[in-house]
Amino acid sequence: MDAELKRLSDIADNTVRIGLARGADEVEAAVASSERAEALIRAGDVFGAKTSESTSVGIRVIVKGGVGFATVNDPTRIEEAIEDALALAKASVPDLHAGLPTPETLPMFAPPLDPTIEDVNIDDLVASAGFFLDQIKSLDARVSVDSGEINWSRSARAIASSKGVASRRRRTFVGGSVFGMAVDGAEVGSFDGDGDVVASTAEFHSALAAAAQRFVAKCVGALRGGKGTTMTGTVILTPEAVSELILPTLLGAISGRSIRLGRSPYVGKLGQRIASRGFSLSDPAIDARFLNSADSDREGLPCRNTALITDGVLNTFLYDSYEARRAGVASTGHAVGGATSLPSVGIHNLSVDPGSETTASLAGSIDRCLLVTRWSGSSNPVTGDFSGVAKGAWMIEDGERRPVREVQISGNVFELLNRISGISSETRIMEGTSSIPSMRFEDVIVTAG
Amino acid sequence: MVVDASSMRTFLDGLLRTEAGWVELRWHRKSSRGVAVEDGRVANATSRHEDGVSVRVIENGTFGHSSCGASDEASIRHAIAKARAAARAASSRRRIRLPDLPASRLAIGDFGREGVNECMTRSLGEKIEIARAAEQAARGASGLIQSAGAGYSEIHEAKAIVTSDGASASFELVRPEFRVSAIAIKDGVREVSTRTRGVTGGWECLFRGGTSLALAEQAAKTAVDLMTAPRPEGGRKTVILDPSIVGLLVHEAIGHTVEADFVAAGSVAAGKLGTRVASDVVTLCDSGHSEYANGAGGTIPVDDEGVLASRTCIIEKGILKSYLHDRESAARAGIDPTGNARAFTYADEPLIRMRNTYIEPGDTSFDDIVASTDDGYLLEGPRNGQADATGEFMFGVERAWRIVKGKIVGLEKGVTVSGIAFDTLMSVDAVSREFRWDLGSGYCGKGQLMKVDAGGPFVRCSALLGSG
Repeated sequence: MDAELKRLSDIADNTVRIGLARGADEVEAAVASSERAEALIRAGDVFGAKTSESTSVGIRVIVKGGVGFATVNDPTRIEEAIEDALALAKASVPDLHAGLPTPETLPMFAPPLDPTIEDVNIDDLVASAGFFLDQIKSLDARVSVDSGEINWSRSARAIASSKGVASRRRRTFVGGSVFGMAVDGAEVGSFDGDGDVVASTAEFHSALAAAAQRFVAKCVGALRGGKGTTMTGTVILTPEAVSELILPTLLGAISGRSIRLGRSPYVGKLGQRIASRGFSLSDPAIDARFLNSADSDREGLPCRNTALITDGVLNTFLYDSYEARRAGVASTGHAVGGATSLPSVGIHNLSVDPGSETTASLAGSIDRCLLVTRWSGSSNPVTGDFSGVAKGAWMIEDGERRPVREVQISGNVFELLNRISGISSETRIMEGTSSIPSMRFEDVIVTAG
Repeated sequence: MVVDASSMRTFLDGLLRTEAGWVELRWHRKSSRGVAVEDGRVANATSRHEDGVSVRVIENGTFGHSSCGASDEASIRHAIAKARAAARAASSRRRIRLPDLPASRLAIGDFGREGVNECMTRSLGEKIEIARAAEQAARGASGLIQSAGAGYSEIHEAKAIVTSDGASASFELVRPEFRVSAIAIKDGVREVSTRTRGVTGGWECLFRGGTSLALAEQAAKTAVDLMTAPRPEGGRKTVILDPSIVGLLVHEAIGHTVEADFVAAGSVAAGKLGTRVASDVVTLCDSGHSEYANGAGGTIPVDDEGVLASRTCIIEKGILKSYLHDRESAARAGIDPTGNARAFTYADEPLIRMRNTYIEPGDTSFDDIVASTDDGYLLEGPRNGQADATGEFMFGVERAWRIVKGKIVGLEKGVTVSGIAFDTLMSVDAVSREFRWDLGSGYCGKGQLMKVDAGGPFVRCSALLGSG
């Protein structure tokens, strides 16, 4: 174990000891440290730079069924935080199902490490910021960068509990992002953004160059947006739009909490078809290609690769230890969150299986459809109803493609999942954690302004 | 050791005396507590405490920022050295150097702690009980309510901000929030309704618009009523926006486009100062104070650069008058800063952010505006909202009340409203005398989260409705 993980583990173990001594029935401590450096971009220039270091402790205690959680960013003040957590637990309403999980054997998984990434410094980040801005400017001078950053972060986390859980992880990433728009004379295009995160310095500048290309294509493509066509018809969502419009509502509906509270249409639907054939969704939680992969979840329980939906059929719900206990099943290792938040149900990484059509051919055989690269709207997580503005949108009619503005799309996410008519064979890995193809849906309500 | 903001200000002032060049130190302590109840169970009861010092310096005409989670002299001196190194590194690439920052409108003194004692001395049990009782009331309001949730939270902040060019300010504030939601389910049909309140100040402020139990009953009734409500017809419509939706409009669609950093990047408001961007019944402002009604959720006496946070008139009778500035953008524009530089935690650098954004009330009554509307919708209850560099905006609305021939005839389901910001403001033809802050719960996101508020009168305009 390296020195930093040992430091954090010692703090976690000590916190558990103090918590038990102060009267908690059960104690869990998550201790995380972070070092971060950023080159800041504003208005197309390197605006400045910043650095930060922090250590945070999150303490969950259980007293007679009451649960309290407290955090502090100063390890010398753990005793105050424990007293806070105890006060909350004692004032809380007892929950017969409250309890920390018992440890389980963790899988053998160690993410690939790039030793050179540990040596990245602020000068490297400033140089990369310059590279990123130069790439964007060389592609199209009409693109104006509003803000962005190049960042390096090294984090470590240790979890310990009175039940014997012991989990540790460490990781270092470099990333970059920009936001902006194209400005052509008096015309301002839609706001857009792009970026990427990688765990290897060798990949970093190629990832930034690819992000710059996507960013410029989206910004410039949105200029001269015209009026759309009102219709109920075919809509193609790019990977970004799929991740914004479809996946959050779907993932919320298959969480054990939504099922327990009856807030999901998928109650009692395990083993049944909930989406069109060809749609398969998984959480590759211990897959070295994805940056959130780790051997254990936020409660220190084992992570595993999980097929959530296979060929349209729902395989499993997502459970942390509490929801699993309520449902009478085993945790699926889907407790997520940082040290300063209570564990909650969620996924680690995400992968939608590719289909058989090329991205270009998704629109090829359609007389008229709307291509959406970004979506800005609201989805009701309970009903699945959604409505919002298609950003970076193009009407494709008889093979001709023209940008459109002020176009709303609306419908129901759960119904839309049964109206998938095409999935691209190419996928995009976004932020190192999600692999998503483009998808085509039928009978979507499109309202032009 | 617990320290107060005023004594920390004195400590930081002394520390600055031996530092060369321009240095800004901001001590920021943030303590929050929250409880959430769902279906009779306390789903979480949490406490969060973080404090530390933000350091910003200028070297070679470039900002450097660092922070430390400890507030002792050695830690702060170390952070200053790191900030200087970061600034020097960034200056190698910065094309346009920072201008001199005029020392105008810098705050000096202690700016109080209104509402802090009243809120923080209430017992933990009382705070849990308010959420528990509201959740129970919502769940018990109808046999159709299958699930309910309620939450209470509060953020207590203390700050001391000093700069080497003269700012020296300290203050404390507290922002309590309450939220209740109800979900009605029958035959596979689901509807959800939520009521929220968020203020800067004590509990009397928080529940000025209704008790927690009344809010729970409203949420339950709306969820049930939405079960049988029809979907609104999509298309361009005449709409009366309630103060919460006006708040979304002025925050998302206008406020972001007039943030000076966004203007510099080419937002749709760039180059429009002095031109007509709204009808002449529209006067739109952003203020650090709680204008017209107490408790606005984005209230601050001093911003995070140590500048007094006063009222800025953005649009006066339809004419664009000002952008929102931090010290740098104001110096470039040759005007005083507007007190809009804000940072979410001690580890964040100040960015240009809104505070309390609103349209000023008019002299027509709400009843008269409805009575003079032949065909349209009254839109209530924000769900979310976003805007674009183009001024194109979108926000979700929970309740759409149909208006026919001057009368509200029935409730229809939630809807998405969109439009082009300045076009929408140009279409405003009526502004009510009734005024309300109504966006004080939740956060604005712009790289960092931030507490803001927005509101105004009832406003009639034209906008595009999506269906459903």
